[in-house]
Amino acid sequence: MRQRSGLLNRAWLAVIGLLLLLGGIVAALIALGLLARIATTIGIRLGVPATSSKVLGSGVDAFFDRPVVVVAVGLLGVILGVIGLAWLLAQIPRTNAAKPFRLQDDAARGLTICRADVLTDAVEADAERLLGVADASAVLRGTALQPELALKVTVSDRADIQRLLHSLQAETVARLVTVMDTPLKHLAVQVDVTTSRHTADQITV
Amino acid sequence: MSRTDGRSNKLRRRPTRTTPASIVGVVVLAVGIGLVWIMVLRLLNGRWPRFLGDVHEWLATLTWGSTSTLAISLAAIAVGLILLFCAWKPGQPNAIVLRVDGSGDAAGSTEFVMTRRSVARLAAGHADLVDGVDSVSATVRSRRITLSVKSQSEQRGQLAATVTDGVRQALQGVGLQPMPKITTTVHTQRL
Repeated sequence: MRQRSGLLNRAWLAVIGLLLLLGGIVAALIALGLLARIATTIGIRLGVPATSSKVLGSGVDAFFDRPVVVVAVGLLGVILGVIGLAWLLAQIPRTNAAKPFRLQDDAARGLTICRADVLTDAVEADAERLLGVADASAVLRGTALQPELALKVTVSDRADIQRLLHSLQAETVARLVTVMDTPLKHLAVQVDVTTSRHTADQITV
Repeated sequence: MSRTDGRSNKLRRRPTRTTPASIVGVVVLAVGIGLVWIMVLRLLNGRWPRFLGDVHEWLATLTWGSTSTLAISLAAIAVGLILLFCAWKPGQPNAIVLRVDGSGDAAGSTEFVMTRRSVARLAAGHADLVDGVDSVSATVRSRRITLSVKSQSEQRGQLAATVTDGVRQALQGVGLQPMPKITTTVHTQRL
């Protein structure tokens, strides 16, 4: 039920992959002497280096000795380091549970704050009382007006799962809705199955 | 507030590409640290670090038409294609949707799923109930369940049909949507 950064990963992998691919294609076309021919054929005037010319021009040393460039190298390093670190930290799955709900946000009448884990503890205990449920864990996200519940129930492989899901909605979720005095914006239930232990009993007749 | 920064609230999701993303993230972080370190050495010593001189000498001899330049270009193309493939390939979803009749009263939208591992456990558990089955293993993909049954019975076809029917009935009762195609293979174990 923890949230992962799938979309972020795909987007950045695509961007970096595309940049590498385009850069590699351009460099390969220059190396093979094809880019100049293509540009001439299309009719575009490009300053394409010849295959016999050096990759590093003669002015590179002077360019990198400029103080601005030295600082720019460091700045680029900081930016890349922050991006890399942020991307690595984004790989950690997060629960992203809701902040404490403000159930009565009126300064004149006082403020009632309810932590989300108080409610999820009750939901878990409620769900575990249902027939066939071995374990339950819940996460509340969103706000007090638009709460979202993610619930994971671990059930025996002999459990009647359809009946269990109906009971979850009709009893467990309904009680949460009553307590919060607002319908859920989204309900997500993940059913996990645990294999029941097979025991062998012998009866002598 | 709900997270919308690239983190999905859905329980059924495609692979998150954590491994390629982590590898590229480490490379980007290492390059960043390297550049900062080089800048610090440049500011402290007043000249670029000595190892950069060797790299510079090598690069200075490099021409655009050289084999090394072409090899580096092809390597960049290969890595780019691998990263694009990692980003584009959908992969198997981690779970199968469960159909629950009459749901939606308690919430604006509902989502019921069962993980593929759980579907495999459930299928194997119900296959194990069939008489003649000694052991069973199940592999679940989004639209196909493959059961591999070991049995001492020589009636492989009949046993496979019985196991398939039993598992299909059990999974239809669970409400998998779409119902995966079930294939059973029976291997006879000789005493």
